[in-house]
Amino acid sequence: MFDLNKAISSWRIGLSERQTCEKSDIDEMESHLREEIDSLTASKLSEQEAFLVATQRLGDTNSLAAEFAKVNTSILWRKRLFWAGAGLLSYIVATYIAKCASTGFVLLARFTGVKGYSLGIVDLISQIVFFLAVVFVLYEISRRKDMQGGLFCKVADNPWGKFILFAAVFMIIAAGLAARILARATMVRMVGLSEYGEIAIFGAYAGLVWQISMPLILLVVVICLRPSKLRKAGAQS
Amino acid sequence: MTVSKDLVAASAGPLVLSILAQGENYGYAIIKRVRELSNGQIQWTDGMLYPVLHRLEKQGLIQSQERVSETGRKRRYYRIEDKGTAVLKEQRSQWMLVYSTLKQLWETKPCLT
Repeated sequence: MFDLNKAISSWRIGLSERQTCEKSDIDEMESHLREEIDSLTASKLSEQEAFLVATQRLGDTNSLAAEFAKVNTSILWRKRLFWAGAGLLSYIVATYIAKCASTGFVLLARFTGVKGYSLGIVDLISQIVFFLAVVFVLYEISRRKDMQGGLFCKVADNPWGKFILFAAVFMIIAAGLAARILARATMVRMVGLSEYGEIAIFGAYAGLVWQISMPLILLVVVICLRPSKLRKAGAQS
Repeated sequence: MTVSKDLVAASAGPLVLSILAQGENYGYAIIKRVRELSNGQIQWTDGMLYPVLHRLEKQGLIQSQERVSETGRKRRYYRIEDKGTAVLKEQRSQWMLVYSTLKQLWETKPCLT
């Protein structure tokens, strides 16, 4: 059974994925589409036929997006900046979580009798594992269809949603900073200075690992989230 | 006969301004009006009207306002501004000039002497 609202919302997603139309542009064209569909169904076309004819008359999404790109020159940059900011933030959050969690692991290892530079190895490995885990979770969240077209846009478009989003980000950073300070202080008190020094050496190695792995992770994420692949996924669902 | 793509693109601005000069209107009705007036021979890809409207609005020639219609549907109505009226006047004389030039060329019989 053909569901008109579903068809229209997937048409909307197709258009918003091209990233050149404002939400208000798409609203305006949706209202046009519905009016055309009404007038076509009044002349004895089925809803599905009317939808097909109306979208055909409106023009295919690629050329529409290209026309809008000529008018909305700033929106593309705004969106790119937004995603760059979101990426940077994800990186900060991922490193905070990884560092705090690894400190917990080091303390746990210390209690179970691990000593000296082995603690540093525990620190290094748990940092990497947690970092990758957080990146994976963030990736899975951003890959979900409803995060791209629906939920996320709804939150970002609502003025209160925006405020809550900013507040949440601020809280995460503040909490991360506080947790790091707390974790470090606890570690110095618990493990003693020489062992803390050993851990710090491995902390420097961890820095090296970040430098090498970050561009690689970034590359993988960019390849997995490229627009053409998302479109294919959208067409299948 | 349908109008060529280039001519459609060139005439879109003046057509929209002329329709809005007769009173405020919204996208779907503007397209319907163009279709009626040209007996369906000026074929716009409907969606192309909206970038044109937004460009004219950016240039300050028209102004838009979102309102709910009698049927309960949200519509964006466009209204011509003073600057738009002035630009339309200018465009009108340009189109008239082109038209009268072509007309003279096409109507004069070749002089044989």
